[in-house]
Amino acid sequence: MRQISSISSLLKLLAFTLLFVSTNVAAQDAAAGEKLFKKNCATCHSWEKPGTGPALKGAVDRIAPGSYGDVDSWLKAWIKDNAKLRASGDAYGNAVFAKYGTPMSTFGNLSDAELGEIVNFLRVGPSTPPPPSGGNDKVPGKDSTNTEEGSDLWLLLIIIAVSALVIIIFTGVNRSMKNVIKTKAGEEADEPKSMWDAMGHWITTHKKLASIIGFVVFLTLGKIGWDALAGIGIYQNYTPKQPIAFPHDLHAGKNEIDCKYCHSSARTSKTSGIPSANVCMNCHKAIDEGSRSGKTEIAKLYQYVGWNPDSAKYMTKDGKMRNDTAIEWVRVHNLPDFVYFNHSQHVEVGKVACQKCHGEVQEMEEVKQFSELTMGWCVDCHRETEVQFAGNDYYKKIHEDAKAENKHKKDFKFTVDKIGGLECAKCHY
Amino acid sequence: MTETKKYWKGLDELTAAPHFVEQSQKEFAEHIPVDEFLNDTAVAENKTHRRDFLKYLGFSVTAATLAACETPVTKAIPYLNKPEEITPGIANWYASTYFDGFDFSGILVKTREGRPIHIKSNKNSSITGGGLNSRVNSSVLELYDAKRAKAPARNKGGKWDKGLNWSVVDGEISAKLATSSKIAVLTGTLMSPSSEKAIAEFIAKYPGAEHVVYDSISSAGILNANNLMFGKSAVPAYHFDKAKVIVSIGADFLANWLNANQYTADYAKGRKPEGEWMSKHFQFESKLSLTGSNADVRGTIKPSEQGVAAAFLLKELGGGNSVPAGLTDTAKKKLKKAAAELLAAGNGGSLVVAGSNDLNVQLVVNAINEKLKNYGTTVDINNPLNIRKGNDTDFAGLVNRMSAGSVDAIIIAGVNPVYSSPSKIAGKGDFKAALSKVKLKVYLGDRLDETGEVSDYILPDNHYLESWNDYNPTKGQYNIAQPVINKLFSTRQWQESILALSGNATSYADYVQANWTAMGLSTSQWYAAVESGVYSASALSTVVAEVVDTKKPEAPKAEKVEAAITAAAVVASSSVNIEDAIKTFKASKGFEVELYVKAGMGDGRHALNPWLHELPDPITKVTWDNYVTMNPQDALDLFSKAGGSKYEGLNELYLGEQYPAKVVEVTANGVTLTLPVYPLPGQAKGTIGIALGYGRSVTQGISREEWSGDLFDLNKKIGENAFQLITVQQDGSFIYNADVTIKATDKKYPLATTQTHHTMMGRKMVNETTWETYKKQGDKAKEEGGYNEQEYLKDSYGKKRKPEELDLWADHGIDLGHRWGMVVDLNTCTGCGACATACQSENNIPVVGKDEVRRSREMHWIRIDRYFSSTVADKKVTQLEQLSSIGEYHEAEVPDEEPQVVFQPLMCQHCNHAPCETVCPVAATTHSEEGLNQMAYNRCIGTRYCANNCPFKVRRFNWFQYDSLNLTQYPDFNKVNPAQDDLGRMVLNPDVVVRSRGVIEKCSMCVQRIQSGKLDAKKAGSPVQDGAIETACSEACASGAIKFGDLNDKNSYVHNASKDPRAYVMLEEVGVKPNIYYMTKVRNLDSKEA
Repeated sequence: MRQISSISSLLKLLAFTLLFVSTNVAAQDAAAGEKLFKKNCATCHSWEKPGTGPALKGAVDRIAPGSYGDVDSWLKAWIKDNAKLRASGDAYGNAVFAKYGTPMSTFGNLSDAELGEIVNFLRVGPSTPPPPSGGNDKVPGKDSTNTEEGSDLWLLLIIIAVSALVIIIFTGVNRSMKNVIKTKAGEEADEPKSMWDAMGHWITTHKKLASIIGFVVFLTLGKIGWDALAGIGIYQNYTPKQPIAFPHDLHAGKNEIDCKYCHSSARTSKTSGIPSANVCMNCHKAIDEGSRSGKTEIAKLYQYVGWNPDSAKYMTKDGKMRNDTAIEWVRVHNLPDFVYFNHSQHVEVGKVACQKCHGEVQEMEEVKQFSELTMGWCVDCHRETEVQFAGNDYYKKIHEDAKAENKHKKDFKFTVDKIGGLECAKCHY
Repeated sequence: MTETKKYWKGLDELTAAPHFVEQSQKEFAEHIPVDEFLNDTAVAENKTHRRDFLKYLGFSVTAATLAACETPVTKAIPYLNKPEEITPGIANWYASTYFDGFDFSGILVKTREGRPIHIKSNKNSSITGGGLNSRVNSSVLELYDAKRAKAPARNKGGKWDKGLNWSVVDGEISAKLATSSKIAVLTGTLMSPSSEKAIAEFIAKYPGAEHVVYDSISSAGILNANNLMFGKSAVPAYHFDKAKVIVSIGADFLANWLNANQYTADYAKGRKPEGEWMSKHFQFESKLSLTGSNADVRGTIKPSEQGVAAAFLLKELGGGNSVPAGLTDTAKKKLKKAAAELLAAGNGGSLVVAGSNDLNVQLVVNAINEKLKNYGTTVDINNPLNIRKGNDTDFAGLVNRMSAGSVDAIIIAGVNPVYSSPSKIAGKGDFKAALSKVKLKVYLGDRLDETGEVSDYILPDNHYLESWNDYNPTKGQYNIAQPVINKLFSTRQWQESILALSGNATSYADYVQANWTAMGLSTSQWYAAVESGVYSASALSTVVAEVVDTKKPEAPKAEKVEAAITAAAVVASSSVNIEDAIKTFKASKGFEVELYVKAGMGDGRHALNPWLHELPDPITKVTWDNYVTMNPQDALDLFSKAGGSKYEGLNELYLGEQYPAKVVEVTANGVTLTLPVYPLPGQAKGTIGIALGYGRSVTQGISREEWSGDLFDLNKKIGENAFQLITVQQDGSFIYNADVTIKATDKKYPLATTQTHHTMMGRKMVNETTWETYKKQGDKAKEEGGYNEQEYLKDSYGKKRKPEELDLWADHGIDLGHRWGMVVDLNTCTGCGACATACQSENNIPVVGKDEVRRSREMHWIRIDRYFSSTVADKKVTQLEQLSSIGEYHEAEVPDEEPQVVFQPLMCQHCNHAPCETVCPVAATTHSEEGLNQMAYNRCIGTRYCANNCPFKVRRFNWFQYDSLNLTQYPDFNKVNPAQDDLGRMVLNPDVVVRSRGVIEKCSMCVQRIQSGKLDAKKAGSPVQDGAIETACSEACASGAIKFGDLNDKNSYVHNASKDPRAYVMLEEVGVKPNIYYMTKVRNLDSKEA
């Protein structure tokens, strides 16, 4: 009976993310502290307004350090392991926890110097005031990325049609002129021929050229038809309109929120999971205004969950999140029902980056289908990708056996297809 | 002259009937009645011109193309506020308990995104030992039954005001109760401390009220016998695992008798030939039961002779002295043998049980167990089971008072007495007539069924998966039931209704918890108990008050009985006179009917569960129907034409697609039932059997009949209600047999039996031996002359070679990584069919309905082949090599009166050299490196070559879109399977594809579980542990007969078992190299008996 607490898993995930983020940061001053703050704390804490956690403006003045002596060491202890601090019976820590309810994650990975930088930052505050609504971010033009698919083809077809029309007109003019000359010369004018007769006449008189043209036309049409048929059911670049214009480039790109902070079940389940609104509200209790669309899009979220940003309360009878609405996101990546795909197998065991299949989502304002999602595409990857066997005892024996079996092959690679990655019942059952 | 056993599935095979031979050559029925099925006569009459055809073709191609080009918009709707414990895509398991008054089991419920979809046993529950029958594992489907009552309703002169408010009905009923002086509360066995308390509260509120407990399948005989002898109105605990010799007189303890789930698991423990001893099982009964078919020695007796047989046994053991007349000589011989074995087993080493509800029979059986000093070892009266508490005498008394008009109001909960009680109670009318005299009738059932229809109010009950409860199956042992889903309709569990009518507005959830808190459990202990589903009073060292027996036992006859039990002197010290009891036995001379319970249908409360209807009965293999079982010879006599030869006579008894069953009229106790006849080998002569649990009014219109004309129409209900035939004794107790008169009619009726489907073409599939031979041969079983002789083939040089050395195909690389396989122990398989319904639930297997089953189109991935066996002289065996020609042998032509039975669960054998794979033109079925025979439904184009080429006949073809969501396309399938509607589809397993029309499907060895088990191991970074992955069938098997594992894992059970001398693969000589091993059946017989 294994039940994963979503909150604890999110926190663990955050800590995991920070492990990588923080080790890269080696700043020496409050500016470095600000950077650390943005990476580690800003998802739950803002400077001005209380969010999941309290607003941090003036925090250093509020704190009653109790047995820790001074504010700095209290803060360091709190950030490092707030649970431990609370367990020690600290009055202020427990009071804060009681007020906000959500346990803060622990940051054991931060060094003492880094903690110091964060504390320094907390004294100084942000270097620039928060940007006004509308922001100075450049809003990428929609047309620049999403040209209408197939417009080139239309252009080509129009040119061909116009040229054909011109040729027909000129041929007609030519014939009338000739007839005029002939009439003037007293000869009998040609019988006016239908276009088809003329074409037939032309073909019989230009057999070689006609057959070459015919062949080229056949090939072109064949290719177009074949491509059209092969493309049935492939929705690469599918970019549907979503009920809330959620910008991935801002969240995953600029704010560098880890994919799996929101799509947490990608690590445990077959679905990556669209985050429930309570995950959104972790941050958006505090952030009610965006840099692009101002308050309009975030207001939609508030509408769904019943949050009043002015009073900072849920406007339901019981003061809890609404449960009678649904955000109907449009699914971008659709696999057919007869395919079993498991995210956790790929993300956790195979250590495949999300971007490998979903593209650079952190640069997409609107998410689009990056890959073909065809079976050929899956299978190609399984042929090339090596199994992540290192340090995983599950693969130990099978890897050794496979190596022994293939010892005569010099460039043996332990790829997924070597252990049945191409078999039907791996995905179809 | 040596003799060889030959196996046959039905009379058709035994006599090699022409239609059987023809049918066995065809995997699929020739005629495909698609037009008739769709009932679209317009299409048949309409002529389509060529040009029209081309127009339609062109249009549909274009339309299809255009439709395919449009991007489908799929919505993804996440939770707004996700419950912490739910992760989409990951199953949650909750512990709960199943008890409906008949079956009891600790269960684990699998939920996906909040929907319960599968049930398996809770191994924490020591009382059931991990056993679960098909009735329990199918019960998840009943949750999604759209025909349940959805809100309270009031009967207004035959018209129902539906959809009332709870407060309205509560108010109305409370007001009426307040003016009633005599109130009765009628329930089934509760064994729940909190339910008892709620009823006590009700009685306190209305002092004139009484509580009557009534069981549809009564065990009052046992209760009363133990009350007389030990002062305990209780069912003792039986320990089949400790009994070296088991004698059962008509008790079907492996399927339906008391706590059969536990007995199956216990029984299997004693049936391992590897052990020091193996139990020897004698069964004496009239209708061949599941238990009887597993017995080593089976004797046939009439139902009325159960007492005589018990008395005879007692006399043989040296107790008692008078034996009433009756019994055949064969039965006597076998009883003598049984007595000898019982004595040889020594003190306390045996167990004798009887199924009769007759007090006197049970008294004699108690005396036998006493004589054998079994009390304290195999029978434990000090730790009794609370599973049955119903008292027939009390019930009869209530009916009498009701008829007399002295009951003002009755509240009926959890039972359906209008349906499940005899036609004449205490010599008077039936329950329905008595009920009409009661002014206020409140029914706390789940739908407008037989009792609901004649009530004044129905307060709909929850499904048990929506309910809370606690149970006390035995001393110190508690099982907790918790809801796993919110209520689907506006229902209320009946205990809460009782509380509401008592003026207590607490929810039952709080009520149960409060009771436990009052009994001394802390909140955390309570949660721990709910989480594990069980609470053992001794384990947690918290003193919990024991539940008092619902029936206050009558004053003990002997105060010191308690001590006397262990002192083993009960019979002498008690005032019960066994001799008097024996005097009451008298055998009848005419035809007798035994009313039995079927492994699928139980007592009838699952009448709307299509999984159970489609589950072939373990013995008769009939689906969807009720029938009369009769000895083939009796049936012949009944129907034989003047001057017809014996052979022609047997022809009359065939059952098949084109051979409807004969119909008879059975009259007993003033009621006449018209039912088809099933000629059952092994049925005692002069007896018939009719199953209880059929003829429910709610089954009206479910069964779909294609046949008409001279065929008998059973009023479109499924079967007939045999409860009406129950004999009621003077003291009101129910006896499940009666004297009958049988009249042959010239009507006919189609029965859908699967016994001749998927025949094995007379090839030898089962292997059996005796325990004596097994012990003697030891490791030499595979040698020449051994019971499990190695098959050899001759190569072109005439050299003897093992079949595996001669290969037509290149080897599949199955040594790398896993090689999944199963070992099926024919010795412990009881044939109950729990695996089949578990598989149905796990793998989204459709229900096809009676008419399709009749055309051999059942879709079960696992079937249990039931073989009868006959012995034929060896010299004729050579002639038997051709297809099913057993019929040539006149010795075998007439079935044994007491034939032996073997059950063989058969699923895809996952052959490493699979014949199906080589013939598929589109490579839809391929082999995996892990030994699985894979099936890609999408790729299948439906040629069915694979099915034709499968020697085991395990492939199934989807003739229609059985699970169609399109109700107008195939309305008939929604009729036969109410669970194929929108609500019913909630039970589908989201990890398994729902197959479409036109593709082949078969057992995948639960590849979805294998894949997820492997993924768990990969995530944990450790090899797959043996037992971590289980298939649905292996998990469901109470006796542990089916085991799944990795054959390449040297430490796995299956690896070691496959090397056992008992292990064999089917059709080894064909060289298909299956990954499924079978263990030879070992009967505990000596050479003379075999």
